[in-house]
Amino acid sequence: MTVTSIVPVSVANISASQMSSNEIASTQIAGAAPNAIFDTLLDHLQNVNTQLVNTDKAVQQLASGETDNLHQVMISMEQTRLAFDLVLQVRNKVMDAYQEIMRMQV
Amino acid sequence: MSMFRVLDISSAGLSVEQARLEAASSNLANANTTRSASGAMYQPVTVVVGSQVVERALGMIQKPVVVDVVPTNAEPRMVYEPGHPDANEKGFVTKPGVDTLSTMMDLMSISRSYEANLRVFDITRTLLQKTLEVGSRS
Amino acid sequence: MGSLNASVVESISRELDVCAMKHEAYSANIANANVAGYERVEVSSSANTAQLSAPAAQLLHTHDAVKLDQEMAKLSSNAVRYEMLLTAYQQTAGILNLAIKEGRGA
Repeated sequence: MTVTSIVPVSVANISASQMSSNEIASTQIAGAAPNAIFDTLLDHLQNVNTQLVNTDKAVQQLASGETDNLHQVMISMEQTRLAFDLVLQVRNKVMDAYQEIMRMQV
Repeated sequence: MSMFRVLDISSAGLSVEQARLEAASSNLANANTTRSASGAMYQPVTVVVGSQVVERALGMIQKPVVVDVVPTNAEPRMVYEPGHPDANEKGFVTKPGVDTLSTMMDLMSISRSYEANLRVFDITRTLLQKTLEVGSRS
Repeated sequence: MGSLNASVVESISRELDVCAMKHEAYSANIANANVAGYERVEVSSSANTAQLSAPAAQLLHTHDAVKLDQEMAKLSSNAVRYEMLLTAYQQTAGILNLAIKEGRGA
């Protein structure tokens, strides 16, 4: 039986017009992966910041006697703390990963 | 804050029951007097209790409030005691119109209400403390 | 990241709102039990599922007088439910905290 030879595929063989726009986009994103992580982190940090601001407002209302729900304030304080903790830990991990990569001998 | 309002409502209830207690015990203590220091007879009193809307509460929440302590204007009792210094010519002594039996029943209901309000106060305090402990870890 | 347990916390928080309202209603009923002509108030049962955006609307005026023992029993069981909800929240938050700290504790 005959073995059909495998034609090696190289990027040069594929013309740009044959690529769909999705494939182009994905290669671009793949090339920009590290920045995406930092952007996501920043995004989540923004969320946590918003939570912190809201919790602050709630505590102020509590102090001035306007609020009805003590349990709401306590729960949102705890939630904010957890969210902040989470972002902090993720940030630590990302930094560790980054430093490890930087330490790699080229 | 609604929990703090509950403390306020319960303590209002306690105050009202205390006022009723004072009135009832005063009536009972003076049930057999015939004259006071000024010469007039003891007038049994009753407590008028009204409801007051609690501010900043959910619309219809009210707390009890002592509106007034007024004389009952009950008819004095005539008791047959011929040897009594204050007896009239027929031997009857005029005593304050206090119905001791129903006043004793009142005391029982006052006591129950007082205890109930006290328990509510206690429970509210516990709930508040538990709420404050949210988020603290051992 | 918002909160990883956001949906659970949302429903616990709503139930706590209902419990707090009920507690206030029962307490007022008990305090006003001996006021002549007082009619007891209660929180409508649809408050359990509806958004509590209009808390005043959830309070119903019944045409019954207050029965002290019954009111006390309702208040007690509602208080236990309140504590149960608080505990449920603390457990959820505790597990999340454990996950964030990777089991290394507080």
